[in-house]
Amino acid sequence: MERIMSFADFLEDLDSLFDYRRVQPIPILDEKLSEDGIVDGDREVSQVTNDDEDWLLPPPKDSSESPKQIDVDSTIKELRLRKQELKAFPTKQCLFQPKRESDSVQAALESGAEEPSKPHHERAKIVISIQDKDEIKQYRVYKDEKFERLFKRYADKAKLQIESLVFTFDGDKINLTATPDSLGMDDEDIIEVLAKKN
Amino acid sequence: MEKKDNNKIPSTEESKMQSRCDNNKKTPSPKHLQQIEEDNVREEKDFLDEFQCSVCLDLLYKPVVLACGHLSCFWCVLHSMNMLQESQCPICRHLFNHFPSVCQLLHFLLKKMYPIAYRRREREVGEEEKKMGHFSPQFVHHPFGSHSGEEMDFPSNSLHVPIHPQNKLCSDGCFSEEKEPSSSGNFAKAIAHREDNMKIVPSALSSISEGSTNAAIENCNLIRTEFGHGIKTQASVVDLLCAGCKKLLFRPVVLNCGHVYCESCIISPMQGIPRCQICRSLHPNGIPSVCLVLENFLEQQFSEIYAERRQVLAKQTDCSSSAHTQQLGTQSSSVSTTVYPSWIFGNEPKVHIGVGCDSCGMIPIIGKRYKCKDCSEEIGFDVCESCHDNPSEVSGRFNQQHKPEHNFEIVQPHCFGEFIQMLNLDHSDDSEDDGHDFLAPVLSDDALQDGEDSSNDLSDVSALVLSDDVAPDQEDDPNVKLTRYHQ
Amino acid sequence: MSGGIARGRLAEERKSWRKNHPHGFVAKPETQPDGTVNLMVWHCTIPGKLGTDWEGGYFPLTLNFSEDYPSKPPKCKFPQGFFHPNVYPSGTVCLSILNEDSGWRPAITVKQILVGIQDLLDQPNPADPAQTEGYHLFIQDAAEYKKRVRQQAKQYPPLV
Repeated sequence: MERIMSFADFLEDLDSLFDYRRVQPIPILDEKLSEDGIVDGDREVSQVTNDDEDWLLPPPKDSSESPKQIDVDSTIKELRLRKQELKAFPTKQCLFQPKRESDSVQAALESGAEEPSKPHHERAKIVISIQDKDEIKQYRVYKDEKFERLFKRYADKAKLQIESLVFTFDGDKINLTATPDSLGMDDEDIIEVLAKKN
Repeated sequence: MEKKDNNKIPSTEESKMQSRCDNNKKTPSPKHLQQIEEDNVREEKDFLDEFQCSVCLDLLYKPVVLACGHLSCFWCVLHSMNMLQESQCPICRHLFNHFPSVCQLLHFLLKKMYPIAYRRREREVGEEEKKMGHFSPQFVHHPFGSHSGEEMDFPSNSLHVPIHPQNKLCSDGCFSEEKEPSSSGNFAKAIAHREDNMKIVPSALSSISEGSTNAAIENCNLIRTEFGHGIKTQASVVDLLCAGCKKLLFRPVVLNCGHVYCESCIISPMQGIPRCQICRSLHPNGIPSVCLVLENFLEQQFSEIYAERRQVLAKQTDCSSSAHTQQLGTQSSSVSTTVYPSWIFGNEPKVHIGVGCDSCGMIPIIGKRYKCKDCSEEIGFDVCESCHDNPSEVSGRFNQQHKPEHNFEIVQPHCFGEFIQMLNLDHSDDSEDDGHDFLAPVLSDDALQDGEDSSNDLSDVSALVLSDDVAPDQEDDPNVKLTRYHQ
Repeated sequence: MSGGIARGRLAEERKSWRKNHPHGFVAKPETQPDGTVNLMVWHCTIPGKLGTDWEGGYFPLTLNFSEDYPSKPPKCKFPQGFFHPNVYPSGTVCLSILNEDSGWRPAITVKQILVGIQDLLDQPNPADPAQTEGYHLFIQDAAEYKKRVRQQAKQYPPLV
């Protein structure tokens, strides 16, 4: 049960992610992730319309993260996770609002509050694995993007109703309004999909 | 259940390797992905899974190769050894009695290929060692990365034990291998030794060039070990030479002394027990098995030369002898298991619980135990009878400053009855470090608490004994010993 | 080493688990009330294998590691009174690979333990009974045994 996806699947799924024509040759400078939380309006639109063309830049290097901090780090992450879960709870109702608008508006609000926008910087991305009982697929999403869009995309591809699926991380259900950041996720962390029994 | 596990593990490793090979050949995408992952994770993820220790799951540090061909870190092997009876390989449970010496060839190879991660390990382990007060062997840096075996060639123990007890409190600098041995005598030897190496390396190279005609070798010497992981430093053929034929290792086996040979160079059906050509020490426990991790690495890294070596050897050794070695290969065995029960019932031979031989690595020592009277290290310096009678050049396992002119005395082991008595005493105060013997660091407080925890009483016994100084003068008189415990 | 390598190794195991683990399984170190993570106790979930009577159950299992890990195996516990021939009344799992004297090897990882126990659920080992009830039914009354297993699977529905 290691990496069960076949090589071809793997390529098919990620092909568009690695369109080298569009990758900028210059490596991104070292940046703390938090400073990257900027929404570029145009980019956001293109992302939405081009659902499958989710190409990516090399991620910012976390050189700031010292290797020895692992233990402390995961502790902090767990803590943050709990906190964020609690926070996320009251905002649950916005789950039923029209998706796109609330999405970008809120994201803009959030990131805007933290950081004055630097126009030509991208938001940090992360590779997330989604595992069902048959296979693992990898997706790339913004670290501060709500899972709703990713899950929709997953459900559409699998031709399933999003309502019939449960997404979990570490055994806990993932709220649609949560983000990879809020759950303290790292690159290639696995989200599991279960089909609701009915 | 276990069988299933066994089937699963290699297959996943294979598939990983498969995809890695694919990465190298074509398809930039997954490689790119991998890179992203690497960058985002941490520096130490930068090593091949093959070089991950399956005990600590970190990069192998001071790797030790067991007779079954499996490898693990120095401390990981030691900590998983059983001090009372024969030990089991942490990977396959193969029985063994001897704690092998660090494989310096692999040590320097890993140090070269993964300098950052290896240095981190060095630092971390060094700190642990300082806490324990016991040190793993230090190796003089090899500027040429040639076969490290030559180091052991040197008749002096001091050469690869540069850290003296008196300077073990010095800062981290002590643990960096760039530091020269502290005494000037050692320094001079090290220099002489390096000069020695300079001669060896070119000859080794030329012998390879002679061995084959095409230019592949030169290319391979320059090959960068990229491996989809973007390793920056390169492994070259000179890092991986057989201590016997001085050519690229083929089907490598690692002897108990840590020296590496081609299987065909050291194992011959005529000779029986292999004897190391460098340090002249006998390899205990029968015939060693090929170290598959190293073999896989050689095959990937130097595929052309390796294939050539295979062809040449296939011609040389006719099917008969190779079939023979394969038969022998499965015969590696440990000391008869009847030794231990016999000792428990008070019969010969003597088993020195928790005491290992600093020369051949036998743990526990079976038969006579010779303890050095002049070594001042807490951990002591002991050898078994055969090593005492045939002194070899392999030296203490924990940096002891043992000298050939030191004197030994024979020490009697505990009898089993003593154990039982000791078990009945209250040990709660005894777990302090009042003088550990060889291997004492295995003791942890939990070993004491676990005492009543069913199944593994025997190993707990050993831990208990280890916690106390087995001072020779007290051993002969159990009463003295007991009163000491009561204090 | 005084502290041993237990924590370092468990941190590595956790790291690799997050990136790769079998579907339906959960394994995470305990978070204490004060928010700190205790690597020495892991709370896990083992899904009953599909196509067996155990299907549909998500069985909670606690792994207790000692400072001697990985020299010594962790203690693996289902809830008290768990119905299975090889589970002690206390909930402790009796399995060769978890026994230091028979099958344990330090190279065995948490992942392998959990998969091993999942296998054990549907393939009990009658040679090594640990509770009377489960053992007797398994040996003597296959129909009743099956019923009990299914009933138990319903007792442990998915958490989400």
